[in-house]
Amino acid sequence: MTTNWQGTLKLSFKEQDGYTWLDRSFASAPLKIQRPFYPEGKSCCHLVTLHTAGGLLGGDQLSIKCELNPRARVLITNGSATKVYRSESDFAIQEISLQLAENTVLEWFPQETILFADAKFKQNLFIELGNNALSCGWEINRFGRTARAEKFNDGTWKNHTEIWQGNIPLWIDRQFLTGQGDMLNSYNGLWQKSSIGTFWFVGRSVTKEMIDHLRTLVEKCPDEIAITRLEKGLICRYRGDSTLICRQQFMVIWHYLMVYFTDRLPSTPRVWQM
Amino acid sequence: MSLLSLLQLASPALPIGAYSYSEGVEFLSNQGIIFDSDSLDHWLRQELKYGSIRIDSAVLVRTFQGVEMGDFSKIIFWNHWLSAQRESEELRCQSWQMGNALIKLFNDIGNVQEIPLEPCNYAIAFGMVSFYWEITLFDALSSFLFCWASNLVSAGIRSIPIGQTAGQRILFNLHTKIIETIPCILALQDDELESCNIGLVLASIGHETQYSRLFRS
Repeated sequence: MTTNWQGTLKLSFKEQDGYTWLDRSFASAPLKIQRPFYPEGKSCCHLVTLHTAGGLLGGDQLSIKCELNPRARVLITNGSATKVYRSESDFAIQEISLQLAENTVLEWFPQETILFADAKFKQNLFIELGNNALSCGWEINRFGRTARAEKFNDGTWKNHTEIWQGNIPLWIDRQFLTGQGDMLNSYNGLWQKSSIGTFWFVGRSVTKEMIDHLRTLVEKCPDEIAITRLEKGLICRYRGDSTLICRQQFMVIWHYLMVYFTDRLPSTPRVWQM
Repeated sequence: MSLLSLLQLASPALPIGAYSYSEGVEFLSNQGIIFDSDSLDHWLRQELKYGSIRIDSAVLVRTFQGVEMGDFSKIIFWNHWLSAQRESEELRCQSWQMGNALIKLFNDIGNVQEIPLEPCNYAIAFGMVSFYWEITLFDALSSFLFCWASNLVSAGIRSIPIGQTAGQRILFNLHTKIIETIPCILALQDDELESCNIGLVLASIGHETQYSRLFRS
């Protein structure tokens, strides 16, 4: 007999006089949180979420809701990579809703997701921005356990990310990949690589000159990486064989943007293995 | 009448600038990823099966139905949606430039309906004009996909390069695939508007910075 997890995490952050704190939280297994900490001072609250069951099975449903009240500044990551195990037919589903009130900044940097061969995974990430709110984040995915030379055969991945401000969508990204047919081999899809990553920065207009500059910062990347402009922000895409290189490149862009737009050099969460 | 409208809408002579875009094909030729008829054909078939063009076509369907029902808020919604969904700045600018040009042309050649939507994405403009010109939804979709394929084959002919006859052969052999794709597009629910577009993303962003090129961003 298998039992499925239906884990929930609810977080609410508040800010007063330049101090952001976790005001309310609720977590049900297998999701947990560590105690918030402040590696860069009290203005930005860092939080690490944990998945205590090792990985996601078909049929698992995780729901994460996080709200930032006005002016809150928060960085969220997780304690380890997320594994998604093989499943005959049922999808493991992760629903994430991030509500950013006005003048908030949320950095959303989960560690990589490793999808085993035959895994079925769907994630919906929905972000709502209030006035002058800023969302920065990434999704880094590895298809197949590459250490075992495993491919993403017969797996299905659906990754929907949307960022809205009022009733206007700022960025809609509806990714889909299946380990059947030619998607793993064609240039249109994985092109025989194992990993793809997406970085986004949404909520501020970015100039063409800044895009040019950011491109020079990542031009030595040995893998494919590309930056383009959104109407209110930018995205960067990676395709290659190293989730570590992917994260390192994204961090260069992240650091530059945060220094420029929020006047602070973010600190690297200690849970990340560099 | 509607056949002639369809031919005019699908004509490469329609001055909306389609010929000046390659949607990644020039970059892929430059990189040696598309290098002959077969590799171009493969790229187009993969895009038809999993790619972004299906999403545009599905939004065209929603636009057509929106005009049919007089529901302009639906059209405005999908126009914003498509702008937010574009894979790169280059593809967004292309979609707006061609959409705006088509709407302006439509308004200028004396149609009664004024369409006030700017910027207007190409798939949205194509859907609205098709409806007003009394083209059926099926024909509109066939011709939208055919124009897309025809334009990229033409881009391939110029950038790979391959011969005109080889290009026409690819296009002719795509007819069945295009017709087969249409029922799938018509069946797509809103939650299924997803694609495998990482290759298109990288190729079109790569093209934004390509040093020497025939096609515009």
